[in-house]
Order: sequence, then structure tokens, then C-alpha cells
Amino acid sequence: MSRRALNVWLLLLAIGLGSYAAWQWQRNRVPPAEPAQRSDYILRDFELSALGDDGLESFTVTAPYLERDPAGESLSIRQPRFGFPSRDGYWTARADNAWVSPGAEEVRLVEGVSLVGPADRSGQRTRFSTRTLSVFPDTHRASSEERVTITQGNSSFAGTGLRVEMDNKRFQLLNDIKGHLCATPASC
Amino acid sequence: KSSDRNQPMDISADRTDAMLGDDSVSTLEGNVRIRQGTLEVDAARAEVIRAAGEINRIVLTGAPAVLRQVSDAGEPMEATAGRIVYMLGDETMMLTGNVVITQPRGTLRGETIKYDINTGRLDGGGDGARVQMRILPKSATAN
Repeated sequence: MSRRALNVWLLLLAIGLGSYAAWQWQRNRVPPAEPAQRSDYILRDFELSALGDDGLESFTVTAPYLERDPAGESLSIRQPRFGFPSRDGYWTARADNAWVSPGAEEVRLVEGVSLVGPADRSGQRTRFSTRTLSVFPDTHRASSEERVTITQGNSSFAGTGLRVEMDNKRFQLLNDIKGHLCATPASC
Repeated sequence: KSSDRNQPMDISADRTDAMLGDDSVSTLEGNVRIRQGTLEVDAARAEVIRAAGEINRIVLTGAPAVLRQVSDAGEPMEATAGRIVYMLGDETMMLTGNVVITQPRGTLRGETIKYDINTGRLDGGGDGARVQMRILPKSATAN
């Protein structure tokens, strides 16, 4: 092998070793990728009943997917269907997503929220539609700062600053009420 | 106008405190405005009273509450009163408390006046208080 060929080989060898060393160094320097946020546990197609401190049902939820966050002990739920017991029957609620705080003091419903009060003797129900809504099961209350549309029979009106007292079947809208009353059948 | 009753009733207010329930009272407060065709009512407060799930009557109060409507003949009418009760079943308004009704042909004052929103008919008195009416000559306009 001529001296020139030898030099070329030595050069290639040096480049190869250098690259390998650089690759090794790079691999060790970059910390291994942090594993995706691991859930404590995941439930699919489940029904869950939460009990209050008094041992009574706080709420029931069915949904296709639930993930429990280990750090915060909160729950993230997709397509939930909630039932909240109250003095005069169940309030039902559904949304695209829900977040349940640790200890289940707050159930926050997000996107496509619909809360429906218990039926009256006439079978009529009152529906609250909005983007986000917080329900507080222990105190049987709900609230939202978003614009809420409320439908009672053929009447409907909207406003902001919703406050609901489920046990008393009472609600308030604190600002900017606009709506339509179905006063007579002809005016609906 | 008689066609007003077939128009949607739009309502607005600053806030509401309401109840769910077939037999319940919902309160609207602050700049309460009702619009139904040519019928307009402005008040400080309104109570929407439901019976068996239907709206039975609306009680409007103000200082004063103001009611306006245009008759089928195109004549404007304006009424002010401390209290206006809109009875939806028989489509009448019961006005009480320093009632003043102003129409092109004259004014009517009293403590209790019933107003039929379909026919424009007014029934005053019957409460012990006197009714005062001023009818203007055809040529004059109501001042």
C-alpha cells in the first residue's frame, strides 16, 4: 500500500472515530426525553358515583374516557354526562370536556355545555347553554361568567353572570339580559 | 295594533332573578324593555308570573312605567302609570297609580284604567277615584 493511500486511510479512520466520539457525547449530553405526563389511572366507558362527606351521592358521571392526574389528583373527562342530585330531582349536565378538582369540590364543564334542571309537573325543563360552567356539588350551586342562553318552554333569553341554586331551583343572570318571551301561542 | 299579539315579544333588562317551575315568579330589574310589534313598555322592574308552565301575566312597575302603542288607525297612544299589569290571557293592560293616557284626541287621567291592547278601548274609574278626561277639538293637537 503506497504511503499516500495509507495517509488517506488514516484520515478516514480519524474522521470516523471523531464522529463516533461526537455522537456518543451528544447522546449523553441530551437528557433522555421526559416520558409523557403519566396518568395515575385511565378509565374507559365507565360510570362513577362520587359521595360527599355525608356519604350521600354528590354526583354521578358516565363518559368514554377519564384520566386521573397523579400530581394534582384531579380528573380530566371527555364527553361527560353528569347527574347532580338536588332536593327536587336531578340536574343533568353534559359538555365536550370536564375537569374535576381534587376532592371533587368543583366540576368545571368546558365547551358545548348544557345544564338542564329537573322536570316540572308539566314536564317542562329549563336548559342553560354556555361555553364554560362550574358546578359545586357540595353546595348544590353552579356559576358561569360566560354568556348563557336559558330556555324555558318557548321562551329564551341570554345574559352573563349566571348563578344557580339547584336546591331552590333558582337562577340569576347579573348582566345584560336580552331575550324573547313566548307570551301567547301566536307570539312564539 | 291588533296584530301586535301575533308578534314575538322581545324583552331586555339589566339583570334577572328567576325560578324554574311551572308556577313561579321571575323578576327582571333595571331598564326593563318589552317590545311586541308596535307595543312598547319601559319599566324599572318586571315580574313574569307563570301558571301551569305558561306566562300568565307580567307586572311592570316604574316611576312611572311607560306604555306606547299605535292603533290600527295609526294613532299613537302613550300611557304612564306607577304599575302596569299585562294580562296575557285576555290581552288587556291594567294601569294603576297616577295614570295618564295621552292620545291625539285628548288625555285621560285616573287612578285605575283598563286598556284593551287589541281594540284600544279604555275603561276608567270604578275605584272611587275620579276620572278626568280632556277631549280636544278636532282642529287642535293634544299638548
